[in-house]
Amino acid sequence: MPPDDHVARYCNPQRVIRDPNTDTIKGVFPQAFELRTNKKELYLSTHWMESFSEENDLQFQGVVAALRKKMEVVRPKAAIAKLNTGCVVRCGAMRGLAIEIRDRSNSHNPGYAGIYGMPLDNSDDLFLAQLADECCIEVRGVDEVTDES
Amino acid sequence: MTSLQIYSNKTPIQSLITIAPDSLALQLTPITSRKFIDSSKMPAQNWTIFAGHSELSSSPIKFPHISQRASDAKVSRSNVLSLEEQLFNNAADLKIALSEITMHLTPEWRKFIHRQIDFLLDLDNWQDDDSTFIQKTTFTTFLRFIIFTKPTRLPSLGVGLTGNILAAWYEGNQRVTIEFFQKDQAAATFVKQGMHSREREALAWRGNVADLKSFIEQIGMIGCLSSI
Repeated sequence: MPPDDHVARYCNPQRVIRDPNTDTIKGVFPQAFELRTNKKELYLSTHWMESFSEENDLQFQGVVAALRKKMEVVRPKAAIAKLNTGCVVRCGAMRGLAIEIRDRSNSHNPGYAGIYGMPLDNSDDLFLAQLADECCIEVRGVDEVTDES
Repeated sequence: MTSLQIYSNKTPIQSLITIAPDSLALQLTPITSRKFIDSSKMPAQNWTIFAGHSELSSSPIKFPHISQRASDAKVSRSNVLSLEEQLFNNAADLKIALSEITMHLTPEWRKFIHRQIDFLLDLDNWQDDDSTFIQKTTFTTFLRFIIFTKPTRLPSLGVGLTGNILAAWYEGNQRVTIEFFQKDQAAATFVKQGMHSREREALAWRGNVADLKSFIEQIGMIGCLSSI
């Protein structure tokens, strides 16, 4: 995947950081990028944003539409975190991780992509923190993504 | 021949139900030697049913006590709790734990934590595949940290994949996120602007929450938690 492109991670409402007074989204917890060990996940599920459109708003809309196809329920209070792929790979290399982002899209799950090479036991706190901060370009609430078509 | 006798207050009433195995016929035989009792006026909980072979002395089958109160009757249901009930119970447990140390918190903090618990355990926000209940032991660790550190800024709370409570403080371009574990343990990450470069600096820390405050002070990020 080109280093200037982006992948989107769907973040559970329990892992979204909101301003305690205004309730506006400030970011996501590093734990939003943890692999589910109980399901023995080998890669982090994401969506390749440029596969939907070149335009930012349409990318978010494409991701939400793809998630609605894939998942039973997409919660309005959940969030979509937009990550720069080059940053993800670079931060991984700094932590000694051979990170790869692979296109796994198919007709049932357009734009689907996986981040491979992350510690399967979520032991690298710093890498997760970098994903949530340095690599995260934008976080948008699902309820802010207006056009759901 | 098997018989079923219905008694009220140990007094046989109305009839015997007689089951003949050969014919599979049911017979209702009035007990003529006893005075008829209107069973409709009897409280249900006093009924005892004897079942057994008519020639043998049989032991009574005691039914569990059933209260006549309508409110109690509603409790009679399956032991399997719905998700909504489990979420309610989880929130109630946490609020009870909070009430035990409530004297150490300002009304603003108490109200805030109540609101955050309700949001995190809201059925409308629940995602079956990766939402989790909050572990009370980790919530207790969070409360200990709050009491000890006395932050003046409110955090944003979250829940990790294994039910650990999370807290995040933002101030300008600085961020502190903490995952609380049981037995006063915690893992924290700190992100801030580098002193001599445009690069962001990230730090990670693990240990006892009693040591966390001094670590945050050492790295100069206590302003994230408390306005100076």
